[in-house]
Amino acid sequence: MADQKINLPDCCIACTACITACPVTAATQKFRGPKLVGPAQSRLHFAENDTEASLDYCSNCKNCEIACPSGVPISTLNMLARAKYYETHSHSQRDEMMGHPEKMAKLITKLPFGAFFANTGMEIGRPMGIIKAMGMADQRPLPKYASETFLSMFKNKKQPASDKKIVFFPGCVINYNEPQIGLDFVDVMNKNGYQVLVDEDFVCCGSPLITTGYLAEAKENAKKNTSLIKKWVDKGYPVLTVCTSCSLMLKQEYQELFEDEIPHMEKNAKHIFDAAEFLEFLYEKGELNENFGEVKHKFMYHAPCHLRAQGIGLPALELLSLVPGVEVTDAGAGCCGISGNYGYKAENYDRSMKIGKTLFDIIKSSKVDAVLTDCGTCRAQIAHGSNTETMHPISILAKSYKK
Amino acid sequence: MEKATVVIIGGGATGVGILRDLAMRGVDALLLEMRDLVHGTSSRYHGLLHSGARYAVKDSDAGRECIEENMILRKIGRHCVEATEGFFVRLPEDDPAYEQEWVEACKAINLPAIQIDPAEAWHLEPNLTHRAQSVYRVPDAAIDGFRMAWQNVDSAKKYGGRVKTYTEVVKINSVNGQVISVTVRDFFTKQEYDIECEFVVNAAGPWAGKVAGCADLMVNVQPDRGTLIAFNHRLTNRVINRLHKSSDGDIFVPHGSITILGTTSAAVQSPEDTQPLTSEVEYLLRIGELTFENLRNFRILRAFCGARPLYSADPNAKGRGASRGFIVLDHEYDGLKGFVSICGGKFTTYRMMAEQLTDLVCKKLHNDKPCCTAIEPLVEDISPQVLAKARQYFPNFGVNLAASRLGEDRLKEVIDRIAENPVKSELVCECENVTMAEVEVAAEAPTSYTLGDIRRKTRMGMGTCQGAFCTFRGMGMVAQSELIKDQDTLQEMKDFLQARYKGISPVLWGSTIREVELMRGIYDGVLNLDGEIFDEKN
Amino acid sequence: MKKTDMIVIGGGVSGMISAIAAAKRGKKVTLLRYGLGAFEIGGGLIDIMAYPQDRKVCSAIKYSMDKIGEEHPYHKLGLSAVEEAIKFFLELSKEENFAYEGSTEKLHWVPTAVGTMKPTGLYTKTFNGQILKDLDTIYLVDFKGLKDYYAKLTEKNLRKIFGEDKVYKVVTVDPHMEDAVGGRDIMIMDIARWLDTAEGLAECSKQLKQLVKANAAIVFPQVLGTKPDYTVYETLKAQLQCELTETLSIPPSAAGMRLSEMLHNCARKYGVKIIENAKVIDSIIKEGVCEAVVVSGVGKEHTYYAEQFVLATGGFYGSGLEVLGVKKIKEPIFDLPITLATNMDKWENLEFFSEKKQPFAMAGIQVDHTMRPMNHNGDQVLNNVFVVGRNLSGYDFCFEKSGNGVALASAYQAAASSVLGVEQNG
Repeated sequence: MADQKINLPDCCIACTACITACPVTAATQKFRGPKLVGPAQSRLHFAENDTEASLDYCSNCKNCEIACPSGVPISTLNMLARAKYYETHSHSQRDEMMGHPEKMAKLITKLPFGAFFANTGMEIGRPMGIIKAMGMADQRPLPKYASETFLSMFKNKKQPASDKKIVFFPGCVINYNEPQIGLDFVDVMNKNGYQVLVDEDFVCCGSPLITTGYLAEAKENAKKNTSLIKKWVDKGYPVLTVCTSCSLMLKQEYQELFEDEIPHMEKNAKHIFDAAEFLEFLYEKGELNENFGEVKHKFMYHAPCHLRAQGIGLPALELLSLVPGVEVTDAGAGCCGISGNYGYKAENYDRSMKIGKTLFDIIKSSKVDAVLTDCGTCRAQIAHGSNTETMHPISILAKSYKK
Repeated sequence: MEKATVVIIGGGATGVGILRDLAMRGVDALLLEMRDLVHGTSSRYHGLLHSGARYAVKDSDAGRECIEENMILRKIGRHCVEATEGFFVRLPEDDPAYEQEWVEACKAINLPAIQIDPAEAWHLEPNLTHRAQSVYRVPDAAIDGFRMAWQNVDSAKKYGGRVKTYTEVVKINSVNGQVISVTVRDFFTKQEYDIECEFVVNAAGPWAGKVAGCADLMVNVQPDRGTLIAFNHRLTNRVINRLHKSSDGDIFVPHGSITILGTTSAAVQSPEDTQPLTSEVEYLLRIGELTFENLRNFRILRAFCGARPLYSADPNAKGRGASRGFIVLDHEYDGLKGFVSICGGKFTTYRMMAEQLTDLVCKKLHNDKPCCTAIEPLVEDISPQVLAKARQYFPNFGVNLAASRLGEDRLKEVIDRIAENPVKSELVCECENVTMAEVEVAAEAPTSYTLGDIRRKTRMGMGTCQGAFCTFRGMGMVAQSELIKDQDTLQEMKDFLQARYKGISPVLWGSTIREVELMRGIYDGVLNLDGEIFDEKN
Repeated sequence: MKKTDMIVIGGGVSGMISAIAAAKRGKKVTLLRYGLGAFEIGGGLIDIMAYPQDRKVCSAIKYSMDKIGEEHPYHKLGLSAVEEAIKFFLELSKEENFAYEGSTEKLHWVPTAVGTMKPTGLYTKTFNGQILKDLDTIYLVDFKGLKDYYAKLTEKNLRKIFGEDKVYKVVTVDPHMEDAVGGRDIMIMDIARWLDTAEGLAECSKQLKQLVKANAAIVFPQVLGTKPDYTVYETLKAQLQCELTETLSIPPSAAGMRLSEMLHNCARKYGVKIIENAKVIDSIIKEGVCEAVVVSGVGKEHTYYAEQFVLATGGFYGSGLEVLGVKKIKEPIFDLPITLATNMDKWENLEFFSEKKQPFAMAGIQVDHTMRPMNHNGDQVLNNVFVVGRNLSGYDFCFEKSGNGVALASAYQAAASSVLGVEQNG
């Protein structure tokens, strides 16, 4: 039954599992809920040209898909419905910006001191009400641009040569906001005997485009990325990413959204890895470099929803357990509430903080000062909601290898 | 004693058609149906409004009748007919010589059958097999049997027509060879009483023989059973016919969110023999998957069967040999004045059958008003203001379907209830988008005695979960507001579930058996509807 | 390749219990789950056995083993194994501060939303039918806008059971969920989540205090919280000075969510590694020993190696047993031999509420007393694989009211068998 890609909404038996798992459903009565908005309504789309008023509430966090025993791609159905809506309605200025972080970042980084001015502008813009007027949540800081992109820094990074190569897909957050994480990743791979290649032609995986209803553009990105990845896969190089939304999009969502429309997606997916997933593979084969130096620190780990949806467990947590001195607990608190650009939208802010409250409370009462998580927006949300430092687990591994 | 000038026995398509025609001509008519409207054949077929192409070759008169009535019903029944159009598709298995014959026959009866390139057909209907050799477009349409019946009744009511459901005729009484009354039995109270009348019309479909027996007369109706499958998905937007000599399993009809495939043919003893069999389902799938190759991947919602009323003067004629045409029998020739039977026929021509019967009855009643059933629409279009208002209160994707189910008056009633108490916009049936207000209005109707009656009026329980959730919600709502008096709520829920299960039990595999496990888990495992309970008082 | 001690496939009741029981015995356990189990459907009680043969209720299982057929999992386990499993569960629940009660000696009757009574085995004190027998005034609570519960329906049928001598009164609490209008209809889960909050609980209590008199019985929909603790129950009980009971109802079940969270917390506590969204599609078997299972994963397959495996994939609901056609069932991971209902040629009964068990419900995998799968000749099929829960053959959990009981007992036994490395012996 799992092989039936044809008509997956048909498999829904209305068991309500998705409703119990949906964090937005738990946070607001205004959202009709995954079952209704997804498979149930899709049966009735023929009846009239209508839109589901509460469709915007879906954050595409994938908890419904994790819960579904029938394999219905509920949140993907919602994203497709959203895209259909925007075929006949125009986007707001805010959506233009939020849907295109790559485009925005490219503009900014072209300017001299562009990052500095953008960051300053955003900081000033908040108390001045400009951010709010644009429809973005002004209660939280916007992600800062790094003064130099990862791709630029990578050019100057020396790596030992090796026959074993992997290709890195940095994604927008790593490239424009947190390039150091990308460098840490390179270090970790080098320490495991891999040389890291980078393809400057990669474009945004498309996740923010999808959630904001720019399906056609996302498809263009998907086509481009897929053919680039194919090139590397044909050479025998796996493609790794340290952003769990990028890996989910590349591995699975492309196929769900663009089934049969783009060739090679299925084959590529076999060679796309989350970085920790790949390192865990090495570990299981006995090929991981286990010369970890001591990192004496107490952390909490938060599993991003898009990682949990990948069905690979929490590989970063497994790797961290190999590092002497590291004390790490899994917060186990579900969704942090931000889900990509969802929590940055003004109308979603309160709800996004409500969803993350359980997590924030657990972190605060644990008294850790640093939380590890593999997703960029989760890092921002946790830092904002619980006032702790946040890091990518790969940075701990990098630190440990240096010792 | 209750009375009516004309008593019509049978609440199927023919009966409601006659009720409407008589009422519109000013005749005081009362329709008696032994269960709920369209309990019999008229709700148990594929819901195809024939273009007539199917009959063009073998029975050109029937074909001609169909295309004419098809055009009329599209006009008067805009809210129960979906103008889907149809395809006739020739597959490699079909005799190519028949195609030519068929094209000529369609021309001969003025039926527009337009050939299109199979590639275009695949573009329009992506699930259609690419083995299709030739494809023609015809004006087939889909008609909702429930809605059609209730809309005929609503129209008749405007002219004084009356209906009593759950009222079975057990005797037709006469004095000196003239009908004077009927004796009826109430299905729930079992009480019997008489209704005075001048004229009785036997429109009881496959039960016509039984009804004739109430007057000690004989009418040879041979019930012929046809089984159909409903798929949980609209796998085609058009009616799809096989272009070959009419036979089993060669029609697919879309109805709202589902698709129906039918049908089969087998003589049976009783029209009550409506338990579909897995073997019949399997037989239909084997035929159907030639037209839609991935058919078995689509979930079967349920199977169902109905008994065709095949009339034959010859009591031994059976099956497709017996005529599908109709006949009017004036029993004055059998010595009983005031009793006519109408037998056979097909759904598509119900209005015309009703007209002919009504002409006969009216002649005898010296009523010469003309028939207007082809001119006046069954229900008026819903005004745009009312539709706009509905959009404010109804759930998304729920307005059009509810509007065509309800008609303007009931739609307004439902809107008012939601406006007054917004809680009533909550959905009782989430699979088919049926609000509490609508269920309430349906339950309050004097013809609603059971959850099943509510289901037939609203589509509650007819979607994906087949009542797994709305059985409980529906019953709870009805009990909460005491909308139906003196109900044994536990038995009611069991009956409702049993009726759903009847159509699911032949197709217990795939997602369908998963749904049944859920239903059993809820109503048997958790709610213990049928288990012995300790008796506290003892 | 790194190998763990045990892999449990399936995260429902039977999967969770096997994982916890094995982990408590020192095993390193990985649990691969797809979906969330049937917690929010089956509810949070442990049904042991009530209707072993027909619709007549029996005495509790301790006194009715003779009515349980040979093919039934309870028969294979034996009463003492069932009792040990129950003891294990009761202790576990106590350890998790959410103590269940009950035993194999007595059926415990709980009210349902339709006003019937349902016999169960192990229960939380929030489900208490006894109070309806003992007390003379019964309040039934409705919540304004709640569409999944109708107190009048509950009252109508409870009245038939408990008689007209008592006083029955329906009272309504307003949860002030105005956002629901035009949004998502209010379900039992929403009210339960409302009562999870201090404000909601206080508000509900305040309203009820105006509506009920002390020393009565109060019947609630299943709303006394979604967490595995008794805070909501104890608070309302104390503040209203009444006895309380919840009712069993349609999904999603709040009590099921409590049980799920309790087991989940316990599993984490004992170091069970849980991998979500992991659909196991295949196994690697060499010479009658399972080496690994394959997860279809997102994009690519993952292989997990272990010494022993527990198949807790459930029945038709989660596709642990795939039904391809009438009498055509496949167990997709190990391709284990399927046993159809014995002495039953049909696949289904024509009645939904049949007098006898449904043949299709009885189909599944046959096991020996160690819970290892057998073929039709009675030979063990795989030495290091155990089968537990709904996918076992020989019982109809909906008819008998035995679902979680079989899950619990078979899972506990499987863990025990795995530790002892008990070899098959006919």
